[in-house]
Amino acid sequence: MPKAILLPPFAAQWFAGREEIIVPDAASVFALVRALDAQAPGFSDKAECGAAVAVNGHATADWSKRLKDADEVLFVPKIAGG
Amino acid sequence: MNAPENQKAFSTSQFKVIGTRPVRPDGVDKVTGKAIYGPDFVTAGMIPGAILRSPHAHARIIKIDTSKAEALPGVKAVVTSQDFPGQESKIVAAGETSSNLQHIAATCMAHGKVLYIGHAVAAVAATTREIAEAACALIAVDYEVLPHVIEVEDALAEGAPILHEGMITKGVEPVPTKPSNAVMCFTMANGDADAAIAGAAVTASGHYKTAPVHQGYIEPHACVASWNADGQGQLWISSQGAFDIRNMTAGVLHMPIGDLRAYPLEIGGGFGGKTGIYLEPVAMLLSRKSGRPVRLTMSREDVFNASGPAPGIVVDVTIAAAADGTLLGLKLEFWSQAGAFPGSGVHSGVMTALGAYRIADSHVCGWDVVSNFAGTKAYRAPGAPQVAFALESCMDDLARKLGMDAIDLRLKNAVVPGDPGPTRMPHGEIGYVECLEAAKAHPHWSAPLGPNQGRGVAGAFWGNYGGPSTASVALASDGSVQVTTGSPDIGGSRASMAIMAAETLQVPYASVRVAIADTGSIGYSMLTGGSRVTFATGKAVIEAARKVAAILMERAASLFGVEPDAVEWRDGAAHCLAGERAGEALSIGAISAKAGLFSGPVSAEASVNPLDYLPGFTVQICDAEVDPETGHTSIIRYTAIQDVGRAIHPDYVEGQLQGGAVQGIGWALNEAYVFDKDGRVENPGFLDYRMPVCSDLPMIDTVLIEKPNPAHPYGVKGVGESPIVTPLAAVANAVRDATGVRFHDLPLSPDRVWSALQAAG
Repeated sequence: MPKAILLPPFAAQWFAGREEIIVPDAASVFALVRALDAQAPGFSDKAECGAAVAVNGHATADWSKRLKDADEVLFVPKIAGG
Repeated sequence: MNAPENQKAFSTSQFKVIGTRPVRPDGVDKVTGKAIYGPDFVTAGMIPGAILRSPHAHARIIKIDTSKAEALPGVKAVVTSQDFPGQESKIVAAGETSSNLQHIAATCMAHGKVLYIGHAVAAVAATTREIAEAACALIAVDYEVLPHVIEVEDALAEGAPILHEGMITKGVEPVPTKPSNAVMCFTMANGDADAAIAGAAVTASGHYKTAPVHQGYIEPHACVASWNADGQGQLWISSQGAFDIRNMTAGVLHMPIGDLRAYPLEIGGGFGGKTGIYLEPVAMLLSRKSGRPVRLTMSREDVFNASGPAPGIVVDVTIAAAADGTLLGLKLEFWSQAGAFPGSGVHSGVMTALGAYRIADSHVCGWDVVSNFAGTKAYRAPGAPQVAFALESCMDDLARKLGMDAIDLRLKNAVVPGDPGPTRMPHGEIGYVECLEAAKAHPHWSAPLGPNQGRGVAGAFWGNYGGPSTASVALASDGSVQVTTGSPDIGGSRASMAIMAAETLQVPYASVRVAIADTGSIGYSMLTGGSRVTFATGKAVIEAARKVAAILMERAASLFGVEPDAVEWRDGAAHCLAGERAGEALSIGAISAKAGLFSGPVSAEASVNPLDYLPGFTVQICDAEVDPETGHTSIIRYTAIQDVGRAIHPDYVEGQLQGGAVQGIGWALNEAYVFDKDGRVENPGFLDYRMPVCSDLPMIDTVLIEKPNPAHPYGVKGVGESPIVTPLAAVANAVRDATGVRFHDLPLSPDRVWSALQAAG
């Protein structure tokens, strides 16, 4: 089952400090975010604008990417450059 | 094609164009004054505008009476916040991150309150600039003046005036119940930093402070706007990203994005400061009211007062090591002076603190704090130089306490590929160790020093970025190549795009021309920033060029009468490998000339969204001489070393290293916003805001470490931002070495240095 790993500020602001959440049957990053949004309404909008996502340590911009059972999906804040 | 999928397959010697130093394609226009920048642009029927700005740092707007201005002959339109559509608090994508649309709108025109001196209150368009300015003077604004705050300590003090009523600090537990000027706190923690520090053999600590500084671009903000009667509009802008400026402007004005077309003009410097909007919605509204295209241009004073500088910062840092120099713990907390609106690079400041060294136990947290000066904007590696100043000064102190060479201490603890990065993702093919080894081996590091001279070194991490870009490659009938992107050329991207296209198609550099398209002529590209264009837009150009090469080989196969796999692309031509015509070649021009016999002209477009960028690492060595009688510091030698991935056009890459170092030296020695007691910037011009000029500095030597990024066809890593992260600390460490005094506040102006030397006896 894919696992969401939520770095600050996402864990504290949306999931009462839980940094790791197992999301059964999440077939894609989109599906995983939808499942998280069901637990914390509004998270999806926040993530779409403000999160960078990495699957198994590799950053990805493609949220339609298929997830496998043991995949770890990391959410970190987007960082602005100049 | 010459861009192998597998990075391991190539070496520099394989390249024909990459790594060469051709003349920049936009050079002649720029040095002869022919290039059209924002304030130069003129269109038929255009009239000028002017903006009335707040004389108060913090005040409630009670009433605005524009009747006298509207009655002045020659006035065509007057705009206030009443002309803006109502704006809900809504987070929208804005470049690499996101912003609140309400704050974007309020940056363009004060709504209800002014938050800084220079905040726009009203605007006028008239037949002449003089009439527009005279009309502004006739606008009567009733203010209820409020107390203001500038420094973060004052903004966070009990009873401080609150800029944004109802703003509750995010990121702290328990959730506060009272509004505050602290927007948020962002914390990254690992292990037990307090215990690690308590048990360490050696520690170094400090309380550091820097002031807001401006990017110092030469060209002021300017735009021309035209809003037609049919609802469609045009913007001619000098910015770091026409698409994002268009999107923000349309968002503020509640326009369909497709109804607004933005044309990029040449940009006279940005450094992050031209990633947002100030004038565009105002000019659009003036145009709609007047029925004429309207130009708005900031004066230099406006630029300093009303466009975003980089934040000042207050930092508390403690770093701990074992007796052998192994770093054990880091505790760093900083408060970033965001100006009037939230968002001052706190996240990237935290990442900078954690990115360069292996430290088992760490606790880093950054606070975003608003106060009454113009909202800060990105400035080349936003948030990073200030944090690196504190951290790398502390590293210098730690090396002295340990009796270690400053580079050896860094080498002992530097991150290597596979180490966890600041977001816990493992570092890829990074080259910090190679930079440090190059610094140690450089003759500069061991050269003798004279009286009153000292040497400092600093290293740094910067994250870089990738993101969406679109590019097209089209061939003319003679085989010349037209590359089109949506990325404004700030640091030489026309040349780097032409080089990568030429390398991919194996044609001469001179046969490739690059255009920067408007938003109606090509798909979206994110702004030019985050050191992303050569990496991300470059990937789009290479992909489009590969598609073009594939079309050419397919057509050549038809012309040769063979299957496509019997054709090889080499030296800008299709070579037949089989059949009766084996050994013959058709040049790119010969194939292009026969486009009429095929399905159409040869062209291809590619859109990409790569996030497999790698961070930048840099090491800089500074020699400084301090005059004990005046406190004046001279930089006498400077070397900038950086892991650049692959230098597509080495001149430009070296220029980035030199430019970043020079800007950072200015930040370290001279530059600071100086506020009077009313919150007014006392030095809003280049005479009093002293940036370094050529005669102030020695030649900045550069060393390019090329450790290619395996995820880019040619190994590119971003290079534009990293070189400004280190100079603040490199200079401060050199002054420490020269004087024996550790300076915790910037800039190291002569009066500050002289006073400290006197106090030290």
